[in-house]
Amino acid sequence: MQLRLSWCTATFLVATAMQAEDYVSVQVLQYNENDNRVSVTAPSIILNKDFGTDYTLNASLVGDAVSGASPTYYDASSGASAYARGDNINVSDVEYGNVHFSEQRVAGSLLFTSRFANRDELRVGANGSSEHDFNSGSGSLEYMHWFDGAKNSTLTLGSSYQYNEITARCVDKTDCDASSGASELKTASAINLQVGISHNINPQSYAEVALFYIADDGYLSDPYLNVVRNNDGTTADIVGEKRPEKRRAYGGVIKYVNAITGNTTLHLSYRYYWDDWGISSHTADSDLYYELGSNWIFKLGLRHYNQSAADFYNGTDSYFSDELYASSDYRLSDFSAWTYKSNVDYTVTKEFSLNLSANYYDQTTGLKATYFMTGFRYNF
Amino acid sequence: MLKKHIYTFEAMTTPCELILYTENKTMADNAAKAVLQEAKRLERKYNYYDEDSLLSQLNSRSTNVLDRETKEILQRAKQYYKLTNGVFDITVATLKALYTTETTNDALQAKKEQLLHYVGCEHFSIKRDKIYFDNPYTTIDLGGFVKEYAVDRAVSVLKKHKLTSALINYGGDIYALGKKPNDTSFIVGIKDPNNPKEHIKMIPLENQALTTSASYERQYQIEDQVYSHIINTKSKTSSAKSVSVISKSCVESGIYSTALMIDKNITTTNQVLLF
Repeated sequence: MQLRLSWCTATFLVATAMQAEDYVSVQVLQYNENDNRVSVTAPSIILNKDFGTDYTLNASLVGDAVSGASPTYYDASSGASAYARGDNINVSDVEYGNVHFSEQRVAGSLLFTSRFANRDELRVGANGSSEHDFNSGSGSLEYMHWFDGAKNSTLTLGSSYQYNEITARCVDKTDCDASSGASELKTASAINLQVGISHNINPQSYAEVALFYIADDGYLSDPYLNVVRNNDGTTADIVGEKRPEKRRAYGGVIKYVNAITGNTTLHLSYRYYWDDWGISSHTADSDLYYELGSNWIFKLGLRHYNQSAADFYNGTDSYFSDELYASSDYRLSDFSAWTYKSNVDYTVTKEFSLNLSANYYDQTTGLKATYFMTGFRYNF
Repeated sequence: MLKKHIYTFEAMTTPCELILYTENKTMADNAAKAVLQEAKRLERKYNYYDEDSLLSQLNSRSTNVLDRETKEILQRAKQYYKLTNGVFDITVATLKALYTTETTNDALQAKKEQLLHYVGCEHFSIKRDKIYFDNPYTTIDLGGFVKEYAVDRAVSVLKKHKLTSALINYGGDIYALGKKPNDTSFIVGIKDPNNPKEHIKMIPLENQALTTSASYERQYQIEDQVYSHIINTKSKTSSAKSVSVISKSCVESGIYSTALMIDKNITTTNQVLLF
């Protein structure tokens, strides 16, 4: 699942001075894709605790239940029974559709911030994630340096390392009644390096620029995805997809925040990504915040994403021959997407606030998703 | 109309699964309970690491009296030792204590040279109901035998409970009893050793056993050298990453899949799949 990788990766952005306070936040995410595909329910709890003015600990725990149907090739002539890999199929019978699955995951993270006499910050983080066939752990280290005594500009250097384990087990019993043989452990690692600067341009505006580098190595294929090879017009073979075991990615992020009026703030950002699999992407993001009185904060947002396809991608209606690398994963295809975002925060008392967000995602591949998040925050 | 009932439990440090087709749940529950009891009985009796097991008592020489079942198991093991030219060897445990992470390679080799003289099934004999070792060092580990034997015993238990359609799966050591109620064979997927989660072959089974051995499942790491859990005293090698054997008994399949993993030239009349 793409979700698990993106959620548990230690991420860092160009830092600003933390508005540290003691709080507990409880949130529930509900994510649903169209066509009854993936559905995720994810409750989470976040604890933030200051120890004096020099140390802060942030801890979070999330558990999610994922269910739905993942697309695969199946035999249209005998109903929706999925093809097993190694099957030689009749081309006229092959269809591409969904097969049901369900997964549970637990993930936790810790971030410890230490501030020095000049208020520079060192942040050390650790993340862990576990599900039945996938375990992941990561650590991150980040240093933020103030350029000036007026605290207007920062330099941030960040790094993280992630290690993933994929265990082979017989989980899909649609093809067989049992499975015999070794369970092989596949591993993958990711190194993420980032450098960024931020600057308060004036009392109303603020900007950040960051560059990043990502090195992925190991088993980067999706163990659940198949491709069609050797289509001779009559028959073809179903085999597992195969991606390179190495990926290098580079990119940059620019962010600009402007207080348009006393109670309206605009956040704009642009991100460029390029990797040696052939994918380059552009993300433009905007959020408009509006404060109504002292109790309400409304947000409306719009994000546009566009990417080119990986060199080894072919659509599911196409096929491969003897190419070394092959994938029909739509996430590696040429597509663009819009995300429509909304959020409201309501401060009930000084200590207690509620939040609700509703979002809609529309991808040109046909994937559409809604995700809602609601919860509360208690300051103590 | 037979209904499908699935039971899972752990025995001999292995996840076990039973798929039982019966007319009612009570019948399946009773059969599954009896199978579980049988697996636990064998686990206790032949646990190499449990000082109280019969096997440990034999290894420590505190007794040499064999019951009928143990006598048969040891006699069969000796027989397979000959049939596999000494590759399947329950006395290889004599070397097992060497394989710890604290041991250096030099120390390992020196000790191994000493103990190799006491490895081999010719170092014990069975007369009437007693076992006799010709030295104090030879020890027996039935780890490569008992799990498969437990599968075969489970088949007998299910037959006693009048089951005609079932699949027994002890960590990939499998026996298919009869056919599925839709009159088709049970299908067992053999994992692709080069591609996780994938099956390289689908095998239909009916009153047959299938086991697969693959050397990279469990390993001992000593310094920077990795030793397979199939400890090989004969220094033979096989290029196969995975060996599956189909036969009439799980013990037979298990022994040949292990032995062929080490030496692919061993002959057998059973169906063999090398990957």
